[in-house]
Amino acid sequence: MDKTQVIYLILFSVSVLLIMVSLVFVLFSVFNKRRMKFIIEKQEAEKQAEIEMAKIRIENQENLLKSISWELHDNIGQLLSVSKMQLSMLPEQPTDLSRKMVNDTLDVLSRVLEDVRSLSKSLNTDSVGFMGLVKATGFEIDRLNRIKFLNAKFNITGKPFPLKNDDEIVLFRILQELISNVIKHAKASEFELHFHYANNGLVITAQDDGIGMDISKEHYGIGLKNIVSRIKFLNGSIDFHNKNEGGVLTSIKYTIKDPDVMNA
Amino acid sequence: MNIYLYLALVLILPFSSLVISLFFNRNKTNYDLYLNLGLGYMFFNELLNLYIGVYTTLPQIPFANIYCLIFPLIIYRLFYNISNSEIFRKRIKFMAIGLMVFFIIDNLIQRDFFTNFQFHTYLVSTLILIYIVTVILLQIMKSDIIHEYLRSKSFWISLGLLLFYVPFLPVIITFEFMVVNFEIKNIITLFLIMVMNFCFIYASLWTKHR
Ligand SMILES: Nc1ncnc2c1ncn2[C@@H]1O[C@H](COP(=O)(O)OP(=O)(O)O)[C@@H](O)[C@H]1O
Ligand SMILES: [Mg+2]
Repeated sequence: MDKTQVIYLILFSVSVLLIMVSLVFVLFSVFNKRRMKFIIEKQEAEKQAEIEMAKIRIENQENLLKSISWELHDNIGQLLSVSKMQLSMLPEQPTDLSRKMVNDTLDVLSRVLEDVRSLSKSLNTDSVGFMGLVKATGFEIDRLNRIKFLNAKFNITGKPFPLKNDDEIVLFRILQELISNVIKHAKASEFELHFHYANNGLVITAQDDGIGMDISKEHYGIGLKNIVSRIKFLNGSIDFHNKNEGGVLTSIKYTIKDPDVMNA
Repeated sequence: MNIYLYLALVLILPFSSLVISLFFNRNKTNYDLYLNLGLGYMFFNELLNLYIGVYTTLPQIPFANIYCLIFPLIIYRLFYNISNSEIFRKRIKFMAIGLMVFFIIDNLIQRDFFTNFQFHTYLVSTLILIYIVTVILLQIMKSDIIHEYLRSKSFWISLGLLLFYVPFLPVIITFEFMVVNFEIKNIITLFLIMVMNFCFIYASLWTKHR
């Protein structure tokens, strides 16, 4: 090969290599970009499907609770009312003792009736008829105190504002499960619920002074699993924590997705 | 560069791709047949060239001309099987027929099949091939395969062909219009054939998707 041929060779090799390298570079960068996009879209779709599932599950539960509530109100409530009526229509009793017994029974019946009514109310949370998170929670706490099982406190800091209606119901259901767990498992004498309204959301803490719990996920029952799926639906976060002095501290963070909704 | 080394490598490369694709293929697909046919023909063509050059006085040009028509057709058929778009398949068929018609017409005009390299046919077939490979790559990009495209057989086959035909295009055009030492062409061709066959071997050994 003479000199010009060598120059040709170098020229050709360089241009061929250049074309090749730029081809590979363009191809791989375009493919990688597209791959990233694909992965993100897939994750997005999975998340959406999960939320959809949680939504369906919550709806089913809501429906079940609603029908229980109607059953309590229409059927059991009616029967109780009827028995109360019949008892009060008993003819005058000869002895004071039996008179007193009937009156006592009437008292008990009234209380049962009232409890059934308020239970039915707290179970039924039609989106339209829902009285609002704060009020409904207040009723729950009152109910808790009325059964004298433990001493319950409820306080609020910050300025309360309405959340999206469905979200309020979901949060309320979570609180109901927390309360029912305290009654069922905690062996507590005090229960304290705290709402803190900040301008971007709501922080709820609930604590009892009971025996504490195993917070590992394997020990979650249906109740806690439902809570977790509800929280996922809300895009919020929940944290269980065993207090040093005993008992469970639960904190829930709920953030407003669209701050404009607040002012609307 | 030693001409025997060149010939040996040009024979060995498609031969090893062929053997690997035939006997060590880990990812069986419905277009393997055409990959094997293409590789087999590539190998056979080089062998024929060598045989004619060494043992006969026949001209080599017509065999090269046939190769430049048949090989692209085999590759088109391969991509016909890879693609799952009915419209694009039709287009491939149409372009294959177009290439054959072009080849015949060009020969009727030029009448140099036995004496000259069919440059026009080569150019048209290569442009069609680059077009097909590009569309196939776009199809891969839009499908789920993109998730693991480095494990996709069709991706590696497309890459191998693209990396051979695109850089080779300016080379062959210059050679058509300029007198350059044949050795230079051999070195560059060899390098490109090496890259292409590496991609084919990769496609047979280390992929798991279509
Ligand atoms: N406040 C609490 N104090 C003590 N243990 C609790 C408390 N809340 C939940 N647990 C424990 O967590 C377990 C899971 O609760 P959960 O998922 O609501 O199921 P369930 O209430 O049906 O048993 C309970 O069985 C209980 O042992
Ligand atoms: Mg429970």
